[in-house]
Amino acid sequence: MPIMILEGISITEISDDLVDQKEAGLDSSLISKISDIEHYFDTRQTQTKLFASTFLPLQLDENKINEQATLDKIQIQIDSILVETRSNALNNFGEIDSKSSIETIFISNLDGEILASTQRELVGHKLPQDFMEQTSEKNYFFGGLQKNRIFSHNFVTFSADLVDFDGNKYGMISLQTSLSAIEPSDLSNGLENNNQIFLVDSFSRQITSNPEVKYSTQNWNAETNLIDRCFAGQIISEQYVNKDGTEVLGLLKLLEDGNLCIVGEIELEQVFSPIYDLQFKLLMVFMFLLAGIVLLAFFFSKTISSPIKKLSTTMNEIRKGNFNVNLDKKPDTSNNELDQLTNGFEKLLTYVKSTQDNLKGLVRVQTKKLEDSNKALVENMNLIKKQQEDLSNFKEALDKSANVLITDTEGNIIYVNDDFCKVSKFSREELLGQNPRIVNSNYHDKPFFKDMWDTLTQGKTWKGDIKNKAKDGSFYWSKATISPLLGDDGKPEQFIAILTDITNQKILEEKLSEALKNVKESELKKEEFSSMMTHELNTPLVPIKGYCEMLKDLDTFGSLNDDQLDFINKIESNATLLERLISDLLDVQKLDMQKMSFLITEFSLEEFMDELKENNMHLMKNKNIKFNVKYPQKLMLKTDKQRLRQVLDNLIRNSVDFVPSPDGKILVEAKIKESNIIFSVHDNGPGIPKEKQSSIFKKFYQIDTSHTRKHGGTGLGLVICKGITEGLKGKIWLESEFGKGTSFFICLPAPEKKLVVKEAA
Amino acid sequence: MKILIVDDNQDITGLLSKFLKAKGFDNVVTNDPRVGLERIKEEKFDVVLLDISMPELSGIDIIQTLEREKILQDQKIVIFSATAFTTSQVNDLLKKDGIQGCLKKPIQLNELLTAITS
Repeated sequence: MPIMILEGISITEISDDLVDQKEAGLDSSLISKISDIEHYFDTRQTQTKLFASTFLPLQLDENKINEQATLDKIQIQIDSILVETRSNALNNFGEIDSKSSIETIFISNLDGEILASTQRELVGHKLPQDFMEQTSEKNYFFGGLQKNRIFSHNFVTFSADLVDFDGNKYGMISLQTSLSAIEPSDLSNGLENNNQIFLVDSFSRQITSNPEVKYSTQNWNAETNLIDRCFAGQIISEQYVNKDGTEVLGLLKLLEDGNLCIVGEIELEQVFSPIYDLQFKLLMVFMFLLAGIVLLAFFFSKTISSPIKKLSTTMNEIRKGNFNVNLDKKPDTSNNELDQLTNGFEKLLTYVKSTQDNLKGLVRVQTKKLEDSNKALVENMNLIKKQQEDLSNFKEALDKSANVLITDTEGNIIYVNDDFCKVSKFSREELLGQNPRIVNSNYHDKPFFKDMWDTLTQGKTWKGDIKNKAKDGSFYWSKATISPLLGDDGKPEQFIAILTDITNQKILEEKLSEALKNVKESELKKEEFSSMMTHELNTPLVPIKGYCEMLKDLDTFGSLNDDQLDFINKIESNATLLERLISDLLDVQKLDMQKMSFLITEFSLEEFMDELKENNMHLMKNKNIKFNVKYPQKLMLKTDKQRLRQVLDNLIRNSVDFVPSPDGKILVEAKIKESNIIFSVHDNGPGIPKEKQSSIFKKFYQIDTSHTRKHGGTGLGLVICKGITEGLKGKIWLESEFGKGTSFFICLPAPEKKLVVKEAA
Repeated sequence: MKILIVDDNQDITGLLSKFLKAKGFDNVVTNDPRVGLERIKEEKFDVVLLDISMPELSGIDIIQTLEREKILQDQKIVIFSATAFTTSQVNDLLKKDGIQGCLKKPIQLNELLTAITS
């Protein structure tokens, strides 16, 4: 039933809406038509007034208009105007369309007598009273004139007063035009079937050009009194039975000048047809729904009650605490809500059961955790206890192992431990209140204590070794760590000195340093010895070699026979060998002691190489060796010239010993490579086997001892070369292939800025 | 040309004296460095041959004395040294005016001649 009511309400609402909607449509049509009509009327009225004014040049008045001569002129004039308007001139005034063109023009005097007319038969007629009344008021009249009567519907006559120069009215000019422009058929253009718009005058007469339409008031329902109410100023929107006996929705509006009512009518059946459709459809739907509901009710009563009863019973059981009830589990795929409810309930039951179990487990776990925590707590407490013990042990240990002294910021002793007393040999009473200077040994200087004091007053820890003096005047050493104890303001409040007795250590150190001093002294002695040995060993060689040289100077000191000369040469060469041995031994000793000193000077590479060549030339003569030097021009070197020379001499001598005779070749080369200078000595000797190359720079090494015997030498030459080269921050190496000669290389750093081109003097 | 030879070793002074005489150079020999210093102060020699390593008064001491007495620059001294080219001390000496050169022991006689005559 509510659905029916609802439907009723909604239908009413819909119909109201529909009426409103249609009414609005009609209203907008009416407004548009009203605008058209008013425009038409305005145009015609303006036109009529214009015609009236064109008569002024005739200078007519009340008297003259009745004169026949004037009337003749007027007759001609209105005839010509009509012709003119029928052509096209009046289009300028906004002719609405050809259908509404002017039919007749006539002139009447103040008595309403038609004096002249384009329709001759009207002349002499008197205008009807209602025409006179209406036109004097409204300037137009619905209806045309024909002989003695007024045309009913199809004309409208516009009139304008004719006035003289003084403004006095002396007659009227009237234009009779077709009503086709405002006919219902035209007005109703654009409306749906059987709907119409038409005009009604204040006498409830429908304005129409159709002679078939009755020109009467009885077509209008008098009871509704629609027209009167409209002319009284109301806008009327009502449903009524119109003159054709049709139920319509009517809208009535008064035109602006208040003389005409425009009426729009829409058939009600048409308005409500969508609602009737809807009502029918709704009824059908309602009936269908009703049938459905009845069926559902029947179904539910069958399937819901019994499962709910079962659930209720089960719930009662659960409430009593019995969780082991069985529900008939329904298939999960069931769409039946009750099945789903049952399943849901069964799931809930399972969940409650498992939760209960979990809870029991959880309680067990938490209890276990609590026990563990308790245990841990006890352990922690034990640990803390132990730490406290450790701490007190530590304190004890500190007190036992170290001498502890605490002063205030003024430096007055406020605490000493037993050990401090013991070491310093002062009693506690003697120390308290004293300055630590009481144990000052005067060993340390003022800056030592200043540094200590500065460090401490900055809040930092000072560490150092202090020599103190005990009460009995004996000295003892302490390793001291002195820390300030800072107050809340960050400034030291106390100083704590932890002192460890290191007297024994210091005694050892002193002994050690003495021993070191002795070693140094002995080294110095060794050096002195070495220097002395150099002198002492070399000195006897001076006369030996000198006298040999003199004996060989045959020109100065007389001739020797060949044997004698041979002996002298042997003495001399052995003396030279001895000299070299002495020199090498001393050099090796220096290298071992790392006492080799170098004298770095700047010199010309060119001069150096030339000298090298010249001084070694005599070695080449005996074996007839091809000896050459190669070097870049105009270079300055900065190194130990004599030592470099010694190394190269050594390498050259080695080569001389090993090159074949004849056809021995030796080349000494100097090359710049990056910021290094590389000297190389190449020979065409037998070469050095790979496996022996690595040990060649080792002490007392020669490839085989037969060479030693053959060539002499100490086997120290290359060791010395290596030592010198490395002492000059260089490198020495060799490249050799057994049987194809050997090349020795010395690479010395030569900073680029030092490798300057020697300026031409 | 007059040459003074100062060396504590008589064999050396004998050798040098004989050699120089044979080569036509007048020379005076002393084995006592103190006498040598006195002679240098007393007399102007064309060349002084001076050993560095001598007991009591070394060649370096003699040179330093001459330098102190501002007569070193007037001398032409050739020094003998067994460790000639490694000691920076000798090199420092060589930079001084009045020091002609340094000969490494054992001396090559022809080098001595070059040193004297240059």
